[in-house]
Amino acid sequence: MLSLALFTSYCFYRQHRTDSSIAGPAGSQLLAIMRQAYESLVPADSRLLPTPDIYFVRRFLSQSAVRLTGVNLRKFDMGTLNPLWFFMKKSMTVALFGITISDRYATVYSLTGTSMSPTFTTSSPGFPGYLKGDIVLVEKFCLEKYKFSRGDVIAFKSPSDHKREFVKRLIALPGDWMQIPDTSDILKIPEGHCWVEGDNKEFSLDSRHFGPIPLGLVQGRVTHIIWPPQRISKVERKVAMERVRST
Amino acid sequence: MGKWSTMWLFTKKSVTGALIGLTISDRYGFIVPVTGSSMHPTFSACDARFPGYLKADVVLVEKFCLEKYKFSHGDVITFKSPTNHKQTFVKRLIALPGDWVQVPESSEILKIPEGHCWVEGDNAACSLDSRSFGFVPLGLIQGRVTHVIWPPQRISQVERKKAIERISPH
Repeated sequence: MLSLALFTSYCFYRQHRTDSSIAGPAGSQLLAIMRQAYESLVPADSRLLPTPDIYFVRRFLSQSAVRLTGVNLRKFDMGTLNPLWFFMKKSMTVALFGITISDRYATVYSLTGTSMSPTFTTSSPGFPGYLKGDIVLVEKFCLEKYKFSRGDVIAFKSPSDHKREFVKRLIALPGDWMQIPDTSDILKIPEGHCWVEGDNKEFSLDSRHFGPIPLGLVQGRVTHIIWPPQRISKVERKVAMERVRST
Repeated sequence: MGKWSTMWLFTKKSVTGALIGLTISDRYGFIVPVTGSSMHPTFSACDARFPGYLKADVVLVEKFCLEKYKFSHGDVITFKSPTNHKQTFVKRLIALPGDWVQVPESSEILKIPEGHCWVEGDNAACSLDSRSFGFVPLGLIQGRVTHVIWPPQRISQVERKKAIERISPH
């Protein structure tokens, strides 16, 4: 069968040297014969390299097949490098997907500090403290249109230290008049800014210290607590009606 | 069957290409046209409305500087406006946290608070910058402009210009 395949390939090659392909049933039959011959030459244990004569015969077969019918027989040759490459491609794609989603749509934060208790209970810094704290889901869809409501819990970059992020509750939006706690001042929130405060007033560094923050610093909105399992819940919106008057 | 598998392959390749493009433009660098006349002559003045938009300089903004917040005096940076979070401005960074800066056309000396910076446009006459809205928190910065890449006759690196006579670093 091998010699038959070789002979037919050779004849057709000589005859149709300038043709690019043979269409129709003759071509597919020839292709079937050539493919069978080619696969019979693949060593049973694919870790072994083929011996030189078999290698050259295989090469001749696949080259003739390409010239005659436009089909690349080498595509069916599976080596040992392919599964590794396949795995790497898949994991890179998954990693890219994960990075894009966490940058643009939603991410998870592990919270530290006591400024938002009792809404969040937090861990002590340092491993394994992280595992005992609340882990929350932060969604970034709100950043597209900047649709925040008063009473949302938001995550933002600190205006005094750009490398740190805080999580506090949004009390007032641009244009609102609000009363600063523990004083009788009334303040109008300037355009593009907002007022944030932590739920735990004594231990919270918030707008009472650094003033209204630009909305451009907001990184996302906290919607759910997802860990530990006994505290899985949606984070409620608490509006401070008595202190804020919107325009 | 060949047609569907080619289409599926094409879809997979284009989704992967789009993901790679999105990740690069979010984290490493992207290209944006600059409108407005506040940075003349560094960037040519142009109209924000169509068709002035097409004559704008297109610049390369790199985001590597955001990892460690390594900015220098005189860099041109892009940042979200503190008064309108939906707008992004391009101005030159004049002073960093801790510097003392003299406010132009007055004899005030201001100390830049921690975590903020002072920005000004090169075209002082028509530029809305820190002289109007004060200190800009460093967290609002979106990237640093390094090169002008369009139109071809203006392809160049954007130079760093320090205003040495007006600031005194700590």
